[in-house]
Amino acid sequence: MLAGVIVTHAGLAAALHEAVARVAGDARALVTVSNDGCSADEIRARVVAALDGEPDDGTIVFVDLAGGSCAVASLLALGNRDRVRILSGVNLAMLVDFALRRSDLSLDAMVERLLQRGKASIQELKV
Amino acid sequence: MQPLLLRIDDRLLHGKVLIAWAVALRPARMVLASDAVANDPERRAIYAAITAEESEIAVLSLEDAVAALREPAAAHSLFVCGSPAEVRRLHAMGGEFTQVNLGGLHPGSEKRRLLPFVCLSRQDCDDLCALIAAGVEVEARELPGASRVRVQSSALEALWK
Repeated sequence: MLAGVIVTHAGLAAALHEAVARVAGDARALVTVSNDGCSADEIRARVVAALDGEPDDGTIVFVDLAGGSCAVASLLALGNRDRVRILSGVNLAMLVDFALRRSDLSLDAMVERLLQRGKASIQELKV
Repeated sequence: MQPLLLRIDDRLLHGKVLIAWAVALRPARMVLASDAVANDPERRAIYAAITAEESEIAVLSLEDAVAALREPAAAHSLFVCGSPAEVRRLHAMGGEFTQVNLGGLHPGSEKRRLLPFVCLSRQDCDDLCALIAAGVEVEARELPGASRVRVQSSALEALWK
């Protein structure tokens, strides 16, 4: 079963976690990391701590901004972990899909699916 | 040559710089000036892979940053260093600039808070005082829309009295 870590600016990760719990009914697979008040090294330490004890099946790190401090810290936290993948542009559609299907898919299949689901959820809505 | 911005920020290149400052200043180039990053293949690769909408990203050693500051292109560039010590070194090595922006410097065990977004060690204060004594103007401003706070030697000295 896959695990997830949401790493974002300010309180976004916690808010997304709460929203996933409301929509999917269960957000226990996800832990959150905020960059609030942290230097670059401290954010990396928080991500490393969140990744410790990661399941053998794999972990997906969800970050908000590609190129932001959370993304850089997550890349630096990777080290030689080969069962951790990082996706940027996290949104609620991706997280809910992850929470509902994390026991059904392999890490590679989940990454491919979430990239599609995340992008597909961004659209102009018209009547 | 004074760049568009020479910023001290311990998060280096990150969201506030890549988005807020880039939108306000529209730099053609963003330079991360850091020996620590330039000499670390992993960190260098991560920062060099960052993409910005309208800016080229470069990771340079302090020596190469001094040369980059002499080029006419510096006037259209934003430079970021991770600490006052690096900017002091940049200046001592002949880096041409007259203004420094103090951005995010986060809390640490040997730091005291000067402003909500600026925490400084005794060494940080010494380095900034040396820059001010050399004629460099130091302003604290986290985001481009915020008001500038001129940082004076007296305030830095009082922080660690």
